[in-house]
Amino acid sequence: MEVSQKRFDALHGRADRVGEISLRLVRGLYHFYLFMASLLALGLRFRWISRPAVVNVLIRQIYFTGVKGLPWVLVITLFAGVAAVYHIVHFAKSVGDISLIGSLMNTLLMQEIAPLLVTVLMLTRSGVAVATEIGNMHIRGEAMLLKSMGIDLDEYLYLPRMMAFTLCGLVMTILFVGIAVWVGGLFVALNHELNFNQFLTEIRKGTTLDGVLMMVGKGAFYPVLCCAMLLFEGRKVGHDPNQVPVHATYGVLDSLMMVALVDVIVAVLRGLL
Amino acid sequence: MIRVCWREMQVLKDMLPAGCIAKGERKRLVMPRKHQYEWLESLFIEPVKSGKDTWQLWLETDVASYQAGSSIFFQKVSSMLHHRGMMANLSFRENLMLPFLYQANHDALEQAEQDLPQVAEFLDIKDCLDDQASIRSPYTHGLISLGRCLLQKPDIILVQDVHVGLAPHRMRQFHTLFCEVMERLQAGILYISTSEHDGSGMNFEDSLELNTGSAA
Repeated sequence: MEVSQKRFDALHGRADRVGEISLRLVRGLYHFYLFMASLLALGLRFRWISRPAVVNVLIRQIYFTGVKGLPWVLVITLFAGVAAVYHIVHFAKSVGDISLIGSLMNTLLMQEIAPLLVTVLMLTRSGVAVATEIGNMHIRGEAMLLKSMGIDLDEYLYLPRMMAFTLCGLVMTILFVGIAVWVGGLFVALNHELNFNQFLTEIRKGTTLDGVLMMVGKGAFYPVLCCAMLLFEGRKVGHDPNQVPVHATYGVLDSLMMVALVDVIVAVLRGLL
Repeated sequence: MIRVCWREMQVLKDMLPAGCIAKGERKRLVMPRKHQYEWLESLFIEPVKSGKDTWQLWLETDVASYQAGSSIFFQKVSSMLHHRGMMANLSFRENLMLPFLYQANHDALEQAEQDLPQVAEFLDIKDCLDDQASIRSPYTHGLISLGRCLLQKPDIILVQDVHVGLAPHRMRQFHTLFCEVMERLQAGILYISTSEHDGSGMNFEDSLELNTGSAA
């Protein structure tokens, strides 16, 4: 009797823990949603355009995330993008159906590889910097300083970073696809796998409006999601310097999880529709 | 008549008595640092649309009253925080101009741009205006806060222990500059300090103390 009671209590304890973790997760997601929604609303209100201080931060962030990050995107595109194109062409030829090139490029390279790789690249290069910078600002008391001048933290600190991530993510995704297709096509032609013109014709045949829209959507939305998550974690640092690496790590991991989750949801929804 | 008033309010677990500070007056609030930040946080929050009876802190003028956190409030009330006067990733110039660049009030921005060279000359930071702030001494933080006050010309200034923690050789220098600026602006000064021995050397008309069990 006593043994079964103990087992019953242990089961209850486990159920409590699972419930607690689930509730914390739901609460965290809800707060994240509120944070992201408030930033999006602020961005769409366009009040920031008339504020030179906010525009200055936006320009700096675009320079840091986009311009300085461009060489890395080019290197990754040349390696990963060209390799992906080469393998797609090689696979299509091996199964004897070169019409597959266009559709595989459309579904794999444009809709999956490009947005995901660019997001991961931005996350590792600029994402950690964003979370750390925001965390350090809170530690140095700069958040309080900004508030004391009547400056809205969401508008001055967070919104420009999110906008820069969106814009740079989108541009880099389009660049990734463009460079991968052109350089990959030339590489394929040089290796006598396929004539360059024929390759471009297949790409044109396989490219759909749906695919382009999905690439643009993912290329813009994944970086927004990541940046919002990094900012969300960065502002939780408070005044404890030990929390900077902790929240930077959480920010990166949570962003990856979120992007993977959204990617699966999009795939499932598209499958159902 | 311009004055900042606050209701009796709970700061952490202690009660802060109600009070007000008018332009030209000099008053002091004594409370522990933790309480100061808590109080200042409540002061700088975004205004929520509510009746005046529920406001905790507000600015009163002959024309109207403005809740703490509103843009008019920040045009009339300036702050000098303890060791926090600059954003590390901005230049000295940007730090001085930040509130004007944010508020998007073109007349105020133009006026501040005109006044900036004189202010920089006065504070002896003319040669380093375009240097990045990075990590600086409490003295430099204090200087930039003073510079912002000179550009903004507020009616009330909240000063949070800016004389504490300065290097000995900078203490006298800062004290002279501080007194000169306050004399020039003729603003009301609410000096928030952890102790009655705040090192400001100012004569206060009134000194309110937070009712706390622990020593300030």
